[in-house]
Amino acid sequence: MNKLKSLILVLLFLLIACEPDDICLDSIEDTPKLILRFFDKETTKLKSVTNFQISSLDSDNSLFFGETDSIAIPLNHKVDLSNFNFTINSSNTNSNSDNILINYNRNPIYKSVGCGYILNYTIESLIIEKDSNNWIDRYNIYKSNIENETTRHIEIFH
Amino acid sequence: MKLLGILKFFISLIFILLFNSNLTSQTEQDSLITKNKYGIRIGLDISKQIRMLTEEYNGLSLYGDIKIKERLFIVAEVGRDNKNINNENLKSKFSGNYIKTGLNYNLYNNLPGLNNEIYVGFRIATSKFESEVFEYSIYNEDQYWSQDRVQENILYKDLNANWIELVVGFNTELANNLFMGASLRLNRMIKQKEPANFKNLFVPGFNKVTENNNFGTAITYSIIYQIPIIKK
Repeated sequence: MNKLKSLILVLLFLLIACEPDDICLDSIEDTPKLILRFFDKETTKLKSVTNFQISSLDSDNSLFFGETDSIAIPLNHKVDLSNFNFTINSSNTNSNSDNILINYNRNPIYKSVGCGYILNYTIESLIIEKDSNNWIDRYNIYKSNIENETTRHIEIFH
Repeated sequence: MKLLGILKFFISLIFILLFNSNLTSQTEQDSLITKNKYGIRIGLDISKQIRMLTEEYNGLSLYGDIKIKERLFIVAEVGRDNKNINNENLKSKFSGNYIKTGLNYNLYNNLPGLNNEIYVGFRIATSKFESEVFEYSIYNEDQYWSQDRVQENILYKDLNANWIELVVGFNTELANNLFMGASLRLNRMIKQKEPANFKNLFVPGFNKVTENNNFGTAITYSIIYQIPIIKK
């Protein structure tokens, strides 16, 4: 009978100990962002943008970068299309805005109870809206699968 | 968490039975002829019905056993579970059927004529089920876009799982041929078929499945009726 008692105690302990872990661990990567790098349209060497501002019709937030040749931006995870307004020299009088539409497929990947899903994207197409004075000369989709943030996905030449 | 309360109640019941073994032995037994009952017993696990009141759950579990030796019972359990798992990241449902078979060994020394059991046993169990995701959130540290959940129905069919259970429990005869019983189970997952892009958070019959853990636990609380066929 003593063995039975200890067995029940072990079972009770396990009942208490086996509570599920509903927290999202930091070691789990979140949804990867889109990495853009900026190049000179003539020399094709890296060329920074200054006072660079990103806004979108679908978001109240805007992102600001002082001077950089590389940015990471989140795509809209609710729809297959993100629209952005890229403004260079945003604080100056010679500011210039270009509208960019990015079309992609969303691929949900289950992570855990605590984290939920992340998305991986596949870029289908990118459109730079023509205006009277585009600062973006051309683009190149360097890597269409957005699975991590280790390398650039889109190259912008200006 | 009401379930925890119910659980504690039955755990204390088991303890009372264990530590006051004399309690069940007080019934008067004058008869010199002892009749040991053999026969099929059928039962219903009403812990499922209790769960239906406190959780987004419905299910049914039927129990059957037959005494093959003085202390040994062959046991079979069949049932169905439908369980909704909703949390901050997910709205999902798991539903399916299961069957369990195994043995119970009665450790309790009954006074002549009594038919109580404190038993240990095991089950071999298998379940066929499906899961469905209705809503999920996207893990995004960045808050640039609205963090609304994605609503998309995804159905994962033809899932299955096999596991074994270690059982400790008791059955006590309340009235002639009518038993009440409760058991605690420790489940060890052997094999499960998971969809490529989702986890089995719940397996019918097994109960909750926690991440990176092959063990699970469950309780039962049964009302059992003995069909008196054979008397020795």
